[in-house]
Amino acid sequence: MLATIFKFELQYWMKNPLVYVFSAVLFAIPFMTMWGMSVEANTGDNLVMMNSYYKLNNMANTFSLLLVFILPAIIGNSVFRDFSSRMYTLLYSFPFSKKEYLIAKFASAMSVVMIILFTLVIGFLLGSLMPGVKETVILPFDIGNYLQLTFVFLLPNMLFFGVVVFALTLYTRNIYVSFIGIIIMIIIQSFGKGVLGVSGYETAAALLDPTGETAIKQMVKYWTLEERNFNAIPVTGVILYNRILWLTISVLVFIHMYIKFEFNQFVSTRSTQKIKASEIENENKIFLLSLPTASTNFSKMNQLKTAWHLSSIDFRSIMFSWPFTSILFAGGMLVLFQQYQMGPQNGIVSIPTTSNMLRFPMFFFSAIINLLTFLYAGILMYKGRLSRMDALIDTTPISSWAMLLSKLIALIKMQFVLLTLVLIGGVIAQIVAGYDRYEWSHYFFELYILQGIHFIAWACLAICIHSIAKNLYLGYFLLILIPIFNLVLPPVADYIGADILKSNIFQFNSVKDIFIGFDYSDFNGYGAQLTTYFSYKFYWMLCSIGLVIIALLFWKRGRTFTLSERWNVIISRCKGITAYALGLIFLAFVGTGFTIYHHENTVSKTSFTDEDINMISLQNEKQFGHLEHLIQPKLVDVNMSMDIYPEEKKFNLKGNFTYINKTNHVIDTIVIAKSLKEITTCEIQQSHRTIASDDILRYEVVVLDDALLLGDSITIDIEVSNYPNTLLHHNSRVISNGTLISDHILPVLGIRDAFLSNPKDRKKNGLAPRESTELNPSDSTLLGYEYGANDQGLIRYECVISTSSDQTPFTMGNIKEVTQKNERTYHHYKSNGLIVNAMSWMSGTYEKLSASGKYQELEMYRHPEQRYNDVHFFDGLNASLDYCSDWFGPLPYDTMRIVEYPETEGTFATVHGNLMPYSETYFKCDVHDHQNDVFNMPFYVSAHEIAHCWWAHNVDPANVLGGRIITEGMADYIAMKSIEQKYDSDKLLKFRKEYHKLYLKERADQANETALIHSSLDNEYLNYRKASLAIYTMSEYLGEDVLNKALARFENRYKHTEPPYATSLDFVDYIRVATPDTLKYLVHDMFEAITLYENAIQSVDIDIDQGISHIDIQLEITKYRSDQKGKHSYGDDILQAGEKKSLPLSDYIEFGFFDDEDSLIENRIIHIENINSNHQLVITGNVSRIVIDPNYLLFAVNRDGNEWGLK
Amino acid sequence: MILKIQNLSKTYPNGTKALDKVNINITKGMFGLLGPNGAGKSTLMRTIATLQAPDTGIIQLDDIDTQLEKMSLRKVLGYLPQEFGVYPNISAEKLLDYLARLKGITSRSERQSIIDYCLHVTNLTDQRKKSVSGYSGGMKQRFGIAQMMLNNPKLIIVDEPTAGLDPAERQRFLNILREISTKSIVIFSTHIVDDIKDLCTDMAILNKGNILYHSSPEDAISTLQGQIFTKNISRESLPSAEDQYHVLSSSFNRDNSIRIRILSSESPDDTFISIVPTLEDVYFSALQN
Repeated sequence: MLATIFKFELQYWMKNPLVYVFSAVLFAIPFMTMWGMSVEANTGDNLVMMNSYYKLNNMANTFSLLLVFILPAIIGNSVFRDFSSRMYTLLYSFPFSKKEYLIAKFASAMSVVMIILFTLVIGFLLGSLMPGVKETVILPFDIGNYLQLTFVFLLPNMLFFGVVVFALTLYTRNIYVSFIGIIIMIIIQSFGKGVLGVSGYETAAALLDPTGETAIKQMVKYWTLEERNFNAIPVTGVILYNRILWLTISVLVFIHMYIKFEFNQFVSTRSTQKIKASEIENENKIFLLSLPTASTNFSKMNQLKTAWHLSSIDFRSIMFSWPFTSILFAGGMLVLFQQYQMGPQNGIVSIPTTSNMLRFPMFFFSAIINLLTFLYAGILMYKGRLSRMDALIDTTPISSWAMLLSKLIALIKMQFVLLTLVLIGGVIAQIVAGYDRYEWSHYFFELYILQGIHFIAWACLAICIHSIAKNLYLGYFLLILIPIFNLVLPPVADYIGADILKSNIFQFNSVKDIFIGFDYSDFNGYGAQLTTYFSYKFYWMLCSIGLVIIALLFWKRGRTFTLSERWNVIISRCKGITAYALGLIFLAFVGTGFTIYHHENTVSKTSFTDEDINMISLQNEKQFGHLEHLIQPKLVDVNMSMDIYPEEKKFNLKGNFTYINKTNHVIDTIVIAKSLKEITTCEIQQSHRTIASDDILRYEVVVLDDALLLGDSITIDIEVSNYPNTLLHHNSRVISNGTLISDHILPVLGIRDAFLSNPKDRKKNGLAPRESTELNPSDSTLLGYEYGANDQGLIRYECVISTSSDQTPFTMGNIKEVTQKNERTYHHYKSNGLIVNAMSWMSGTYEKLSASGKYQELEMYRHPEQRYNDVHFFDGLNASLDYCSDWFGPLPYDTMRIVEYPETEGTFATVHGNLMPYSETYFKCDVHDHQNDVFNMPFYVSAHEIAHCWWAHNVDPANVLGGRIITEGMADYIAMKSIEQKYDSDKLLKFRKEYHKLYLKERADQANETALIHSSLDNEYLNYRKASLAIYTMSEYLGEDVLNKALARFENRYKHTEPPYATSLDFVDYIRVATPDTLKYLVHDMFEAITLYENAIQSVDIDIDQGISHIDIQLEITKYRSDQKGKHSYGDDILQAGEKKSLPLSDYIEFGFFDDEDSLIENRIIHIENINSNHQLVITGNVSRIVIDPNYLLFAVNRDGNEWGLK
Repeated sequence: MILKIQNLSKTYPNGTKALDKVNINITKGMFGLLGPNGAGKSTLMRTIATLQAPDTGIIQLDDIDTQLEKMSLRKVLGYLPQEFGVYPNISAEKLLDYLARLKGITSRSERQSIIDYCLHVTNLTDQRKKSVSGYSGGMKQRFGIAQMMLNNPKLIIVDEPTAGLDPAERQRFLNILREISTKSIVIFSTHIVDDIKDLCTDMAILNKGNILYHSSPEDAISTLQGQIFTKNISRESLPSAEDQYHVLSSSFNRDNSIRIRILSSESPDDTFISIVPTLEDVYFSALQN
């Protein structure tokens, strides 16, 4: 009998078109992804193997989520079908056991799921074998990979979700509960990841994620690219336990359901109230029927009213159903948690501002709202049919549009309830955190207007698709595919070369550059985003209205039997006002789309598409490439005025700029490259003739009548202003409050470093391959003026800056004069001596704060409401200023100014002369949050940035490899020292541990590590993380005094020098000179090679006698070099001990000895010469724990074996 | 008031010809549509009720062309399908209110009074707060009548409403229908001849999509007057009797003999007894023609 049911079921499914639709889509997505990405993959060193175990697992897990969402349509439906078709009444009496019934049903449905799952895996497999895939990103075919993926991960996952769906459907006899059950499980899963992923619960998180994804992430956390590309995922440890746990849970759920299930459960209605047969009162009485008169009214107004009332009924039926209540609860908890927790943005945990409360939960929650919209749209649209009440409803004289409208309104009401969770959660989180600004209007505006119109469009689409689709499952599935389609369209358009399709007007409900959340600043609110947002949303609203009309045409009322009959009905409905409205909406929609496309791509003067940039790069090279190495004079004197008009959003800069030839080369040709995004005029005061002028590239090439010799100068009068803003483009850099304009607006001398880099594009345009200069620090030609990127040099700077009278203007220097004229404020600034060639101009409304330092007055100008971190900014500045001034000498400034600018304009802080433009992000940073224990951002960033006055301004190294370890590495080193001075070494150790982790993670992710002296200029994990850690290690080994004196000598040697400029090689040499011979290896290991340790304490014998510990310790120390992909090597004089290999050792390694209360007794350095060594030590104190390298002075990926004893 | 059906045809995609050029006029009163299962009754009823479209043909209620002016028809229509469900977990009163809104009754007080009345007529007043999905078959059918009456319909279509009702429920149901039919057209389909006999003012017999017979029950019976004869025969002789006579129906007696009823212009022989024709005889004779 089991076999009979099984076979019957399978036959049913094989005849069901849904199975084929699901399979086709789940085949096509992985197939196209694998094929497309392996054909398109670039060349280079950091290639991710598309079909590696890790990558494949990653992709398959994501795509299989699609199958999870539709599991109820298969597994749930296999039993729900019997109920909804009332087959149960017959089945109940058939001679088979519940064992046969349940097993056959589940097994057959699971088989169907398995088939679909196989098509997904086969999609990947075939994709990787297609013609054109690049061997550089595709590993040879390995069946083991696919088998592991299928049978260890995907199938058990489906089994788990399948069992849950099966059980839910059987328990409740309601298939929607299982759809919602899936959504709730996804919420709980991400909730679990979030809660448990934070601190110390990683293993629990890995175990509790039913998909095993977190476990895998855990396992490969520090894998290098090499390992990720070539290693199999080990099914051991936490991954194995995870698999066993969830398989067991699946079995338990099945058993529970098996025990609980009774056949008669089908028949007895859970919610049946016992209703007594009514009293036989008028049983056989004959009535003289006289129905009370009831007037009917079918006016439009009344139908609208009716639609509203009907929507309330539908809405209530959603709200007061327990599945929805569960979603509200789970979703509410998730939202609140995300708001409370607030994952750090740019590494910074912020205070719970309203914009954060609105933004943080949306990323995940908007997907939940969408899923629920898709599902409930179906439930509402099929409500009559599912409850078999459709015949009663369809024959009532209510117009279809009123009925449809009522469904739409009910759906929107549901969305608004979900959005309200964000408000409630946000306010709770703010109350808990003691945040005292309750910006209700901000909440309401963003949730119910901005997000509201976004979700309404989805609701309209959902209504439309469900109206068209043949059944609910198909509609739901199609709807889930649409956001995926949105994501896939741009790369596909790119691939087939149809650039127009990349536009957002083809991605339903999308807005260019605004994805889910909004940028918001206390200074200027949403800024120019809103115009863009509303323009696009107006377009999508037209689309939505069109969709609703189409939904109306397709509205299922009564029954049709053939496609042509249905089509005839649709055509017959498309007439009169409906047809006109649809036509009109369509025209408006297309017209708006065209306008948006036009505005987006052709109206703006300051926004460039990829094609524009390619074209500019191409012309730059073709027409002006021969001027690439032309030597140009350097800027030395600026005398200018800057007028900012916040209300009109415009600025005007005028000034004369003097340049000097600092080289022995004779300069007669000057290339002026004007900003591509502003209106610029230049007048050279010396006599000259123009030989080329290009309006697109904005070049002016002139030949001077009198060539410039060493020390000769020219002066150029420059005027710069902005293009006016357009509908979709914010061309001006001026905003209503908090303007920051940087010197990017100024013309520069020499051609731009803009060349086509993609080899394919170069070939297409007939350009020879561009040889990239290796910017080797040992190449002396790169260390002077001749190398264009070295724009070092100091300038004299004077500027009168003005703004509207309600704002304050800022630029670098000391204020000479403040005047008011014509309702405008003028500040006259002049630099005290020379400053580095970097300029900013700012304007806004601020509150001013002051503090005194040992050497300078400190001023801070910030938004009046953001009084959270004042003291930390000043503390950071003071600690760093004191440390640097004491070691390297004082700065020439009397006053340092921190001036805030909106985070919508950037998240950086910098220092130009004595002006520090500082992003709002740091003013909203929550330094009390536990996640900020380690990084007190305002303190750290202030300390770091001010250190640049010495390490970037005083010493400005050549722009070659390794240069930034001198600027960023030193700035971070000084920030570390500032933390140590202000707080304690424990806090610093935490900071450095975190830095270690970041370095290890980023080197694994990016797989482009080099030795520090060759670190590329944009490599943050080397220039910041590793360099500062290495310098700190030297200061510990050599002593702070010895190292800092060496650094001071270096600083003094290169301070404001003429070329050749400093390089990383010089920097390391200064350190090396101060290093004793026994430690010279360390300088090499740290700076000139990639060196990592793998250390372990093998055994420890302790004999404690009268408070003295006699220790016998057995160590295994290995050291290796790594290449950029993480491959180990050991040099020529390889040390070997059994399996273990190492570089030759003569290393001094620190050991920490702790007593039973875990306080440090002593740090002792042990000299290591072999892989395995034995040491006898005598320590005064009761040693109960020993740690290798307790202060994280050395680099090691794995520190598991570094400890002995109990913590 | 008259409902005119002209040339109505419907063939389903699987080839079943459900209606084959049906022509019939129905006037005020109770109209019984009699026919075996699968005769096309439901198709005809659903087509009149605007739930599906015919391939060809016209249905007119007075001057409303129901295919073109569905809404005008729905405004005066009361429809009780053969089988229907209701939204779960919603009380009879609320559900009637919902349907009354759909039927365009906008005044709250008018809605309330007509709902109260309909509940009273169908004897559901005590159960009005209970969820309809928990009702027994009879109660649900009564609910069906209640919802049907909400808009004071002029055309009422009830599709096999008495199936599954106990005799008392059935009687009350028919009484209510009969009462309604004094003011409206009530079309009432059934395969139970007894439902029609006493109540209907007009009737038709439908089989395989064709109207076989259309008259009032009395006229139908009177046409067979003197042509129906009966006789007890043994089980074994049934086949030969069927060969020999026009057997309309046959039924077992307690002694395992069989009573046959035949149609014949005169008594075949003395063993047959002439009896008064019933509507059932009309039905079978029509089917067998």
